[in-house]
Amino acid sequence: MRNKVAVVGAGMTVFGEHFDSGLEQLAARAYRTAMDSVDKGIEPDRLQVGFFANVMGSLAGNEIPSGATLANAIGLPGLPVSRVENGCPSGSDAIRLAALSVASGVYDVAVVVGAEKLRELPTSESLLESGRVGHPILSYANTAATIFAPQTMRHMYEFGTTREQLAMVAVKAAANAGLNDNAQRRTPITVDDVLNSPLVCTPFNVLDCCPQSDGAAAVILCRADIASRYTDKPVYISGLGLATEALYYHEKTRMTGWDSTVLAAKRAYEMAGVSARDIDVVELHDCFTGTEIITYEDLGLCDEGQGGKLVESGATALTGRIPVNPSGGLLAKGHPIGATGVAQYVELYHQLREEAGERQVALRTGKAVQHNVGGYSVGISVVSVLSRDPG
Amino acid sequence: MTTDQEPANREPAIVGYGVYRPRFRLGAGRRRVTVRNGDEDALTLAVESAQDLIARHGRDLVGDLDGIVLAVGRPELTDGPQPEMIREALGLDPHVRISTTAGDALAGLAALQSAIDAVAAGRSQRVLVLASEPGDGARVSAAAVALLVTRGGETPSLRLLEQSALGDVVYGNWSDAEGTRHPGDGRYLEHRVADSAARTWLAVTGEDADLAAAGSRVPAAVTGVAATAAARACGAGAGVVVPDHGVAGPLLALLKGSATNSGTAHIVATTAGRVVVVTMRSEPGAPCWLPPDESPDDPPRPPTEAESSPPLSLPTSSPFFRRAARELLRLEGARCRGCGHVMFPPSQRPVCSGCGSFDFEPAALSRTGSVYSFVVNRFLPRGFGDQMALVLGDMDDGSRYWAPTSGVDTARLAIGAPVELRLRRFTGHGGAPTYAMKFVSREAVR
Repeated sequence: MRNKVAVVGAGMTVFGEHFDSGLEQLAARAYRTAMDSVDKGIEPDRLQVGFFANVMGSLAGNEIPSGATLANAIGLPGLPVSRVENGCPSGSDAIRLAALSVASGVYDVAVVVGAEKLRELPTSESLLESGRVGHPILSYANTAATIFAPQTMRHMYEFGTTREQLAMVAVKAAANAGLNDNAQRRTPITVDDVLNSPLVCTPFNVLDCCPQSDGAAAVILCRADIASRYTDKPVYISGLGLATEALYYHEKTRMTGWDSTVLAAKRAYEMAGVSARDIDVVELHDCFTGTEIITYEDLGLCDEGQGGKLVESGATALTGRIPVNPSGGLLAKGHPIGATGVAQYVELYHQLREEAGERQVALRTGKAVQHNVGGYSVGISVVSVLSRDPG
Repeated sequence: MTTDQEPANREPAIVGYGVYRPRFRLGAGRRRVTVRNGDEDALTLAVESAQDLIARHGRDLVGDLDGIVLAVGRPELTDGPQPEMIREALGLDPHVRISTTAGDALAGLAALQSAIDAVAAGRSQRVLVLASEPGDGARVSAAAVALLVTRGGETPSLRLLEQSALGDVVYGNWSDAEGTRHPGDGRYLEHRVADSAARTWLAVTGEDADLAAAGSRVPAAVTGVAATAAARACGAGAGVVVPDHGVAGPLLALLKGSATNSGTAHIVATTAGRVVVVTMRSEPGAPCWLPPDESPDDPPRPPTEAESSPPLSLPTSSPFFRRAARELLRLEGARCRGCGHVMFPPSQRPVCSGCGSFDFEPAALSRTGSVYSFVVNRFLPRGFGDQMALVLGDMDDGSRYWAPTSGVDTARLAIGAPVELRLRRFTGHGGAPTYAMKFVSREAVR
């Protein structure tokens, strides 16, 4: 499947608190931006299949959307659309499924829209209520923080990762987001700002955590051998990996990283025929600062235990050896869950076509990695390898 | 004093005991009380006392158990599954006879007597008596006592010989249907209780108070309402007083009596309207217990967990809780018969991830271990309070377990700290209780 599917259009909304837009309006706005971005233009009747990534539902969880929600939102009732819900990797898994449907030969052109409307209710009734789900006892009082924090706590204990190194991740994210008109948090911050922000859940302070966001993102995919109808600079999907892992903490094999990321990366790298050394730029799942540091290791960007040192060295800054999250990441760009994976593709699409403006990173191999990890108790990961070259 | 040496003495006897007292303290001096944690209740206290009995005497003591009698001051729920929870938590047979006695502070004594009567009549062979008092945080201390009643003979035992009582219509510290406590008239109670105690003591021992004191025949223990006045009325000093532990108090008094007196002794248990003098006989080595030394002027230790009742992700009426009972109440995992791998929780892991087998046998997981990782969370869903510590325990059998903490100083929580799993209450929306494991600091248990 390597390089059999191409991305020919990409677009997203601004991420933030969109009190004046509902789920359908956000989805439609991203869809329109993606369609308008196609260099040689594309008519809606070219779209043959759709995939709709959305995790928390709509109308404050009172509706469980189906593919029909997206089809109607984008003016295409009748289009075959599947709603994809697979935790935090929903957006990238929706792209994976779309790519598989195109690579299978059944469809030539696919549209993927990820959209999330979290702010229909106050934070105390929405974000925190996402902690009142799952096993009533084994997931008791879980929140997004408690399903990522224990790994960071153990990582600090085993490898000496420091609160300052965690804070550096947030500082980098904010600096990059300052250059991204679509980002939610664009104000620069310092390490002290992070350390002095209130404690949320050890070891994370408020600024170690991604915000609650509304937003949407969309991509247009097609068979690589017809991509030239739409653009002379497509971005190729070279590798895709999806992996699950042991779900409850008591059954996980280790607490300093996520097996699902390692396995998904292995699958994606093998399909693409690359190793971590070959990667120019990464958009990974920095829902919390500690998650980024740990993911450096899980993706093979550095040795186990060295993630804190990697960010401290500046290697993952915009001008560093291996820039990570030039968009500002989940921490500063925002995390409308279903949209997130798709938005990472949007950023890498612009980066590999060298149209990222002030955020443009230096390209050497023209290969990029996208990563998500999540789900309740964090049991699932998607990793993609994107390439500007079809070979 | 003669002790029964005939091996054929098969009268009902108490052959084993367990005691659990929470470690929290409020008040000072005479007002010092033992207080339960916000996530403990009569049911968890009862389970703790039964676990203490098993720890002292071995699991075999509750093998072949055919009866459980639970005594509480007020049942948490009427028609609730509490006795089934206890039975399941202890891993006892579903066919075991269970009864619940509720009422006043003498309900524990009544439960003990009914167990003795059942064994004497041959209706039961081995009965576990549990008297559990959650306390009121102000005057009545929290504790639970477990006693194993069977036909005596092999091990040194404690026997109840007789009970004498005197009752009167007196409103003391009574509680209404909502559980609100209405205090009585303290000096009136002292007067009435002392009067009844003196009369009953005279009737039982044939001695008035002065003679009793002179002849060193005084009660071995006195507990309940106006206990100090009752003790004085029987010729004893304050040293024999066991502070008010409600329903568990008289059973603590029996154990204290066994500790301080070998042979025949008397204990006195009072409520506002009734005085009971129990004549008991204990052999050397019989079950006995004395409260450990602590000063009522030591600094107070308030409970670390507040009572809270956040909506859980499922109501307790859901069939989920019956399916999950054994794994949540007693940490029962499933060991694969093919490869030995242990899966947990069994109700959600029907296929072995080691070898793909569907064939398992029950396996009790270890409850002791150390902290492998933890978090202290300050940003919780509504109803969960301000802060919660969650621990991933590295258990002694190689398994792991993730649970909140109970009674732990979260500021001192650290990877490597020794911890132990204990049954605690998870109260759901509307007050419906369900029970599962939480981590306590290992030094703190008992």
